[in-house]
Amino acid sequence: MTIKTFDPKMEELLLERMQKRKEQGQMTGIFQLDPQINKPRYFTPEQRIEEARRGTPVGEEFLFAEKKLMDELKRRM
Amino acid sequence: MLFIRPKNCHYCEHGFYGLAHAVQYAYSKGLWNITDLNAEQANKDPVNNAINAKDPLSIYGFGHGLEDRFTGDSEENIFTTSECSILFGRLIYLLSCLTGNLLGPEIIKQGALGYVGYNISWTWIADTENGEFVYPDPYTDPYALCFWESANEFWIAMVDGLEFHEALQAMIDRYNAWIDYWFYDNPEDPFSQECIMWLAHDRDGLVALDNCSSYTDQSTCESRGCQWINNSCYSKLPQQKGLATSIVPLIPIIALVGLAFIIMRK
Repeated sequence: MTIKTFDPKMEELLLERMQKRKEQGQMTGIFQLDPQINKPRYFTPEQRIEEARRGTPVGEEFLFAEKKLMDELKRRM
Repeated sequence: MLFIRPKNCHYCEHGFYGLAHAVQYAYSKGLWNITDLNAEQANKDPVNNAINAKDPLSIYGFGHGLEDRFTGDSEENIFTTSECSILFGRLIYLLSCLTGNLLGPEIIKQGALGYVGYNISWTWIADTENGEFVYPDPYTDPYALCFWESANEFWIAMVDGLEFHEALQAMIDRYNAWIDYWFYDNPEDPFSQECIMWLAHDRDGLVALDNCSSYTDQSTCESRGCQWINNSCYSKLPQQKGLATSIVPLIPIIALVGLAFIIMRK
């Protein structure tokens, strides 16, 4: 899997956006089709933010998805 | 045409019912050579037995996956990078996590006509209570529908007779249409941005490999039995044929046999 690592400034911005969306009730649990042992296939909003904050591979993927959301919204505004 | 639909693996209920819509669509189009391996049948031995017995041209499987493996109902491996030669000469679509990284390229290397899958953890959201699905069928779930319908679109388009690259585009178009829906038509929904985010994530994680895609000029492409379209080389995949289409060449033979039968009875 190709995961792009963001520069610290962008990472902070993405984390802030995740936190803000959670506070506004705009985040929900997600399911994944991934069978890795000891890795949950369901992530609550809190777990997503925690993984992103810790910089785990799946957390990086969550940040990457957050960036995609920004891009999709920008493209349509 | 072989479908693999596990049910008992973690959170597989949505895939089990989601792919049932693709199975039903294939039946509705008159395809009769369908093998639907579901629930406990969606495991390695029944899958290998069905491939050996029925020799399906195309396989649509859903299940948990990693870079190098695709798993079934018991979450045991069905196909791995070291065990996928059985897919020689077939078109494979694996709705699964991550197989586009290693397993997909190996499937092509082993001689498959085409492979479609994802190089990311395929992700969806759903209406849930305590982390469990409220609606078993994702097509009745207000959030899960857009994910499963988009993912099924490649197969629906192939069954409709579209070419490989056209079916891929149809799937991407479906993902984009759903992103537009959440942005323009339903932005007030609290989870509209979640849907946009994960639909874009899944769409961009799509990997399509074709055994002709390594040819980069028209003459080599066509000399290898492939077709040159929009400056790219694609396989000429045999199209799925419905009953009506397949029976047409047999009509004169059926008529002759019928006529002979009538004459003999007289």
